[in-house]
Amino acid sequence: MDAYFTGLAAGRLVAERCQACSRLQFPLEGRCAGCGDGDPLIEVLSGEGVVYSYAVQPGRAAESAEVVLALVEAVEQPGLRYLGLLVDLEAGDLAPGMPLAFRPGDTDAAMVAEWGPAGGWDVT
Amino acid sequence: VTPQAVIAGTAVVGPRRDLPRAPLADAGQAVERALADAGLAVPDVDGLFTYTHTPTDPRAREMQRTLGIADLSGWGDLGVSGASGMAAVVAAAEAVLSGACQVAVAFKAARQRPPSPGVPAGCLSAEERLLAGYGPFRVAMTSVAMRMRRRAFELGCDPGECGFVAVNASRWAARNDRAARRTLLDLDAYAASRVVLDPLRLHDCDYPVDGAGAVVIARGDVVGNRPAVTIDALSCATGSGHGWLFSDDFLYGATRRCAGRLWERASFGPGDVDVGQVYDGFSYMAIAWLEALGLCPEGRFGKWVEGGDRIGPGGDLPVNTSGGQLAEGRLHTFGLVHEAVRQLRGDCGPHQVAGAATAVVTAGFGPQCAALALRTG
Repeated sequence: MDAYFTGLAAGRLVAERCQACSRLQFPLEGRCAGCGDGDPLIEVLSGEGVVYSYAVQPGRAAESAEVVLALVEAVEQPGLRYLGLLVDLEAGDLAPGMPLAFRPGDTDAAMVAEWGPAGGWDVT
Repeated sequence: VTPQAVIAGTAVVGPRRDLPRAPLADAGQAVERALADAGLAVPDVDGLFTYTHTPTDPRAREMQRTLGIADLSGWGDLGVSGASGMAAVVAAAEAVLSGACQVAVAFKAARQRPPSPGVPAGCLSAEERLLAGYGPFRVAMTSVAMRMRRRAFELGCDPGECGFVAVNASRWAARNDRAARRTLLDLDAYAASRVVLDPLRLHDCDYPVDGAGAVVIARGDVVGNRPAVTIDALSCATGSGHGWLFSDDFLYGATRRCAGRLWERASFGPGDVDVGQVYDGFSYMAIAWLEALGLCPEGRFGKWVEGGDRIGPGGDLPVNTSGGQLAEGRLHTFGLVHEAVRQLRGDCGPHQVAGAATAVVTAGFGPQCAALALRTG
């Protein structure tokens, strides 16, 4: 998974592309789980995705905000899903298939993926 | 003729919330009681299998030393990727069916506050590592909350349908004096309960307890004429995909494959099930299992359940008649197996399903599924 975190640090969302069967894969496993080929290449994705599902962690205290954790399906391949925080979006407005755009984010613990409204910010 | 594997005896210690003891003490007592229930003795045991999902779970060899068993011909400490405690039950049954063991005992201690299982080795740690960046999220719970919402997206089901499972657990638990949580719940109380991870509520989560369970599995010819329950079929499945959050069959995990495999092997089918004990680590999982098993049409649970009457006392298909893990307590599937066996023996008193002759027990979810089809005789 190191390539994923390196990618985030560089502002990129990456997947593994199997050289034998062309399948895209995430999480990164160093081997294609579809055909068993052992040498997938890291590929940078467009950063466009759609809402697959999400869960909302209520704010723990009056002043703390809720956290919306989502699974986002990348547009490059059906079933290619990423975990991320939904930001600049109201949970009540979310609908399946709603288009989103990726940007790298940071929590106390690690680099994370953030997803906001498509076209809502520039993706570098 | 290959001798069949039977469940000769079961026992549950606790479940309780008051006096935590050493896990090995609880588990040892469960094994001794299950052997007594089977009419067997410690020297009869030649197999020990356990589910070790946390670092402090007693190991099979520790149990061997505690009981004073001179030698084992089969044993196993099944780790965190197993189908809850059913991983140990299945391993014990397989040991008996293969001829490796004559009497194999599966056991597991339960803790209210278990130490963290840690990160599983190998590629499957990716989910834990990914999730850790976002805060105090747990893989299974997060995936269940997301599955509840995805089910609403795909199938139009109201996540509130999970309330029927929680209410059902409390109705049965009220009749079961083993149950640790005996507060009667209604749909209003469910809907008013704390949101843990929206749409998942507190009452969707199993009830943490201290205690233990044990199941004695033996060759049919070893137990002779003593009352036993036959393992008609067993099955396991991982399904495909990376794990919990990234499983290919997001709504059902491996339950559909596990159920399909079970019914290919069993001498009876879903229409013949008298009582169901389905895994309810989270209430959503029980719904997915009922649908995967073909006990309820897929995506129709909310209507099918008839306000809860269908699976409750006096219903067509009584489900989780001990209160399950939601209300009897989280015994890592050992409570569900114990209850199924007691039902088939007619020993359940106020929560007995009249004339129950067949049962199905399921365990786990996501990539960690197992199931048993049980019958009398």
